[in-house]
Amino acid sequence: MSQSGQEMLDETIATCKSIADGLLEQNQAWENSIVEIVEKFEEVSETFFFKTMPSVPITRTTMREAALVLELKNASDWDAMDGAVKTLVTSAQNLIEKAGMKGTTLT
Amino acid sequence: MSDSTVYYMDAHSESTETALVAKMITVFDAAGLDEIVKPNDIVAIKVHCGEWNNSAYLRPLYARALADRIKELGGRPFVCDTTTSSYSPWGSRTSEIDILLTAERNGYSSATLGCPFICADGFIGTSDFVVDIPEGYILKEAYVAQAIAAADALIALTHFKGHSMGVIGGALKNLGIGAQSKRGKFNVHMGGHPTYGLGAAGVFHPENFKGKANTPDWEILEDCCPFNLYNINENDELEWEGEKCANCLGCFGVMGSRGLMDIPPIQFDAVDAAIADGCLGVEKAVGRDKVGYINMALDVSPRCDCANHADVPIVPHLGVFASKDAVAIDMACVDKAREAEGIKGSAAEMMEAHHAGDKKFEAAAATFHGQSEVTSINTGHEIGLGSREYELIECEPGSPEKFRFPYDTRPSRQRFGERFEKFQVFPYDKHDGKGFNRLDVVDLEKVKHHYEDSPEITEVSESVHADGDD
Repeated sequence: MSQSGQEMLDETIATCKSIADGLLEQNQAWENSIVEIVEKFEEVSETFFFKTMPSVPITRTTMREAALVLELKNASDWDAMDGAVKTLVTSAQNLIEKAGMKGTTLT
Repeated sequence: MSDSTVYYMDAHSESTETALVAKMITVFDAAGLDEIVKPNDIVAIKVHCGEWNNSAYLRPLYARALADRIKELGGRPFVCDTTTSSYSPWGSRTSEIDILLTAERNGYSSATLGCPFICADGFIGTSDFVVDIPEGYILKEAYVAQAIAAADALIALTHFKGHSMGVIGGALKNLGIGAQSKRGKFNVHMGGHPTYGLGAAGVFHPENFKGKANTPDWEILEDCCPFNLYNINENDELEWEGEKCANCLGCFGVMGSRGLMDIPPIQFDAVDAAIADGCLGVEKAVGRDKVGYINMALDVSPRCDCANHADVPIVPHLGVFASKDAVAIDMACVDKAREAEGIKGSAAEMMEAHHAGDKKFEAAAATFHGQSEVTSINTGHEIGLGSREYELIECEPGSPEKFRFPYDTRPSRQRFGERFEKFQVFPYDKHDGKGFNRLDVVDLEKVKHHYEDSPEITEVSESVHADGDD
């Protein structure tokens, strides 16, 4: 069975923590952004939205973008890092907003 | 156990006899559903008339054509749906007066159907007939909408699609939920159930209520419940009398999205099993040999027609199915959906479940991870309602004569020859017998050209007027 939204969020949080680890030495702004993402994700973790299937597409997107950022960090590809972090921040903001589920119809 | 043969025609249509309406009648007859109807039988046609602003529900044309066929067989048809329980704070089918207004807006009325459209469970939804179902997997009784229980025969005319609670919305759900009265729906939805009901399995989080002052729309927290079970007390705390919860589902969207209630996935699984029990109750109420099923697997939206919207279909039209077995017909539709490629841009693609072989409803329709698209089917198999093993028979199209305009079957010359002459439908006396003032020749390539591909068109011809005046 494919991953649930919550499982993807857990994986994204773990990935973001790996990204943040030691990132301060390279760029403080990036490190701040990633740490903030982790904090926000931990706040919304285990909420109703992540138990529902509608959480899957947007969480998956964020998870993949986080994985890309980690890949760039591990490859020390700092030129591509700035754009990738910005993309991840945008996705993370969307995800946190969606977790509020305003306007979501359940029936 | 019923005959588990499923009669099927695909959704392609290129002629009179392959029109989807014609195919529906062809599979109806092939499945022997015509034999269910005896002269003077009152025949209920159970449809889902669609929620306000849903646009994927079945066109009334199908119910009309079926009603006409039933009349040909000597039966007296009526088309029906039932009140909802209410499912959301703003439901449009919660009482008879509301459902009739919604149905009429959606095209279901005696004028379009050629027979009555009725609300089968009465004004508020308490008109029903109680049936014992000792065979039931969870339910041991069902509250069947009275008009359906009173009918001599029943045809479940189902729009097959996804469903956020049932995962699939097929024949089983059309009767297992749709043919239950309002209190029957509370029964199937696990209202008051000691294990699976929201009152038992839901986890209420009043600590997440931030007070009226910090909740601009706080009134909806109380108003979402028709049983008045939510209350903000004098200490500005949210209270819930969960032990009285009937599982009307009206609070799900309101409470779940605010973190005030953990809606339990296990309740959904239990409802999906109970749907088959409810369907069995309906068969027992009407007579097990007096119920037939037609599944129109068209516009296969991920959500049910009880949603006030309709998303992009997750698979192309799958076809038209008929059977005497509710379990087999739904299994056949699920199998066809699995075989199909998902539609680009649909929820199936968004969930990456658009490949042939993917379980598309579990990904694109279910509310919770882990819900199964075969729970109702397997339950129906277990309790002897029907069989998930079936034989699929592909039907040949019927004769085109059978499906032509029935009010005057003569060809055009016989019907219109004299009238066309009398009223000069074509003005032969004008423009040298050409009839109308038009150019003889125009440059059609100019208007067929794709200017986005190349701005220039090389060959340009002159326009010539019919009267030689260009």
